[in-house]
Amino acid sequence: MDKFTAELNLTPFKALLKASFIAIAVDIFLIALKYSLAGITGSTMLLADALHSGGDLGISLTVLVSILVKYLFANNEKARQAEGVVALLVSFLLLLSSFWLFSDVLGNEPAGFVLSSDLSLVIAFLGISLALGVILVICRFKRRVGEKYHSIAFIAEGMHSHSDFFTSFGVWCTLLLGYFGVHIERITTLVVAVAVFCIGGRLLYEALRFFDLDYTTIVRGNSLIPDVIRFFKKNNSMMIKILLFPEGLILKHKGLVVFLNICLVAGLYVGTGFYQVLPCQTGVEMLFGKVMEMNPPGLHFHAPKPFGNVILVDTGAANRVENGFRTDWDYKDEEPEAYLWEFTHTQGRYPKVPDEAIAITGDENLIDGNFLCYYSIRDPVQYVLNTKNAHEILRSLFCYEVHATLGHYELDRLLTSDREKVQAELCRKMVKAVEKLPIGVEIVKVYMQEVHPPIEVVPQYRAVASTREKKNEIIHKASAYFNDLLPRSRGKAQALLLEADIYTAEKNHAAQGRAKSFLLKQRHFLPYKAVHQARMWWETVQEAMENKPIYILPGDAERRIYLTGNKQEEEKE
Amino acid sequence: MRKGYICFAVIAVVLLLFYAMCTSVVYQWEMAVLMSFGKPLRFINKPGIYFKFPRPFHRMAKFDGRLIMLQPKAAEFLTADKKNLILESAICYKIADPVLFMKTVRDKKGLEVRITDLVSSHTGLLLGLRELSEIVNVDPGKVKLKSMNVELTRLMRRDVKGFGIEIKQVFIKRIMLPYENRLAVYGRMNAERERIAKKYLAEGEEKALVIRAEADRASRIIIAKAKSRAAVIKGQADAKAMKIYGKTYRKNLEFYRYLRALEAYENMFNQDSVIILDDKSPILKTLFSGKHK
Repeated sequence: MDKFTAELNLTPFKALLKASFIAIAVDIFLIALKYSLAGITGSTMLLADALHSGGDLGISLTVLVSILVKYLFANNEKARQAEGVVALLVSFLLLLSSFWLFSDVLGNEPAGFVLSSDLSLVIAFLGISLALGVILVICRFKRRVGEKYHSIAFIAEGMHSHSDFFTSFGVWCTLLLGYFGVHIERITTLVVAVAVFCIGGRLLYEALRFFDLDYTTIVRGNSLIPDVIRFFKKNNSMMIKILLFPEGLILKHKGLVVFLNICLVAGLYVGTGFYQVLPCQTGVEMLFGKVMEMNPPGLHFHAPKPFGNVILVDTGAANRVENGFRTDWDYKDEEPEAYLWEFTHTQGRYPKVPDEAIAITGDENLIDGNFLCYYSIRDPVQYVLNTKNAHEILRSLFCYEVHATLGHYELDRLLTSDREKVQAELCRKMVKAVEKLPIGVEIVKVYMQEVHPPIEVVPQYRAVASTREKKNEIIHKASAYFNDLLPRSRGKAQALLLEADIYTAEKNHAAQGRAKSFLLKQRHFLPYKAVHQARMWWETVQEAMENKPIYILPGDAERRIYLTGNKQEEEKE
Repeated sequence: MRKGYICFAVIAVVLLLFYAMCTSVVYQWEMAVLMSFGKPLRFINKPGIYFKFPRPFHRMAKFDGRLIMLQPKAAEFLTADKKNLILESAICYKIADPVLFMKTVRDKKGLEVRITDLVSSHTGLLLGLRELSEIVNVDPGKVKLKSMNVELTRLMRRDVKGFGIEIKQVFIKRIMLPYENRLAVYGRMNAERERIAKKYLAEGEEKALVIRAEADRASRIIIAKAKSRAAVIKGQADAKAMKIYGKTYRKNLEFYRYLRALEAYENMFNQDSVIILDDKSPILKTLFSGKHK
């Protein structure tokens, strides 16, 4: 350190300029270090710390500008304003980054805070330790340079670097606690974000003041602290009080602040022991690895890590073990309209596990089934102490029981009438099997979700159902024929009888008529028998031969006549 | 004041380091072996905080004493009646004696390899003594799966005696046919369905034929009955007519014969008849001579 100050023993301006550049270089180094640590470990906390160092860099830049202005352009009005512009820009940057940090801290995603592996934890720890050392050295260097050349700006900057030291120390402590499983990264990040916000606010305030009063406290040769205190008295603005609160107060009551910090860290540490038990849970509390008590829902306290810990067991909710399928709770796509047998394999929120689903039945057929077993945790302590993964044990057991049970049923009965029976038997078997294992769970109910023949034979099964319909169709058609034919036949029979009646009537009347006519005729025939015989004979002959072709042939003619319809053909022999 | 804080900080850091390096918490579900350069010094099976020298001198090897379900990959075996089956077994065990465990199988991975070997060999052995019908059967009394599991558990317990673990249960979790056999079963199932479908169709045809025949029978019987009745009715009508004719014509048989002959003449000729007469025909003779007879 003395080596540095000896070299700077030229003119005050050159020395201050050199010191300013050194400060900026160190700040850049710190930012790079912390930023790369944040990149390696993925921790938002380290990123916040890097941003805090960025604030320091901003202040160092402002100091550099102020030195330049003071010595080189003391008479140039416009050049003086450059200092204020730089401060303003840096302050905006810092405020923005602090808001970004706030949103990250208050957001719901905690992944960026807890370091994932031991290696990254160690790297971060070593990196921050290095940064702490560098900050301590640069702090002392700045203050010495400031004292030597009576530059209050440098003294103030040196003091401010203390705050960087404190934040980095906080990060260091957090990392140490993280090693023991106590995670206060989020709170530390919040604190650092507040610090970044304060620096930003401070710079903004100074920049604004610079434009108003045409001169800054940073550059002015007077003492900074009385100036700040004077300012408190002058302005009662609450905002400004909050902005300038830390620095003035920290410098005034240094011991108290350190004590309060320790209290805060201790309080935060003890606070990690509080935990909440939800209505469906039971909290199993342990101290030095031994189960101490079981806690019902509500707020409870356990000895903080690494001395004690708590395991929350879901005792209220009915847990379920699935066989043959899994439930995709986060399924977002459209579900099929109905879970047909084919769809349960390919679509929807219940993906199949074919290895579990397909089983051999008693008649050596294959069946595809989804089964569900509900269980609840009866004894949380036994559950915690005797199994690492009770769910997996139950799944295997359930798979065994399902396959063993299906192995002595017939396929057709499994599909239809024996479902209830299988369900009851499975439940009985599971209860018995679980009783043998000391895992603290009890079976609530077993459900046969769905069973169907393997997808490869489903078309044939459906075809059988269609054939059954076809059978009914054939029978119905025959019945239709029956229903069509019989009434017709009955009608026909009726018609035949009626016809017979007609015949009777006709015959009767004809006979009676003819008889009457005969009687009438014969009464007059007898007296004039010869007359009537001749008359009737001729009348009849005449009538019969009337209008008909008549051929008269000689008696000795040796001819034969062939008559074929109307056409006559004669042939002479 | 400043010194006080520094002292406080130093003590805090030292305590933390001491806690981190020289103590070890054994949870209630754990067992631990305190070791010094690989030599077991003390076996711990009670929960609590234990002191030890830092890392290179002492090491606390911890073992999870909770139940673990080991599920080796499924493997194919033959039954006594030469049928292929894929069996997947599951072994529920826990570590009981960590020192023995470390001595014989070294770590969990070593144990799992050995258990997998053993269970595969025993499963093959036991399945080779049983027929498929003893694994799956419609008659629950004939299924020997449970006794096979008991036997398997017994054999496994016997063979892992030196491993420092306690086997709770071993069972055949899953039984499946190899892919080709599964296809064959699907083929058979399809054929069976076809048989049922054919049966349904034939049954339908059977019923339909009966119904049609019944319809025909009923219809024909109705008509036959009607015809017979009609015949009777017609017969009665004829009889009645005959009676009337008989009564009437009996009164003058000669006139009836004459009338009937004339009637027959009348009806014998129709419009298309051609009449061929001999020139010596009595009709012509009578016509031409003008004398009747």
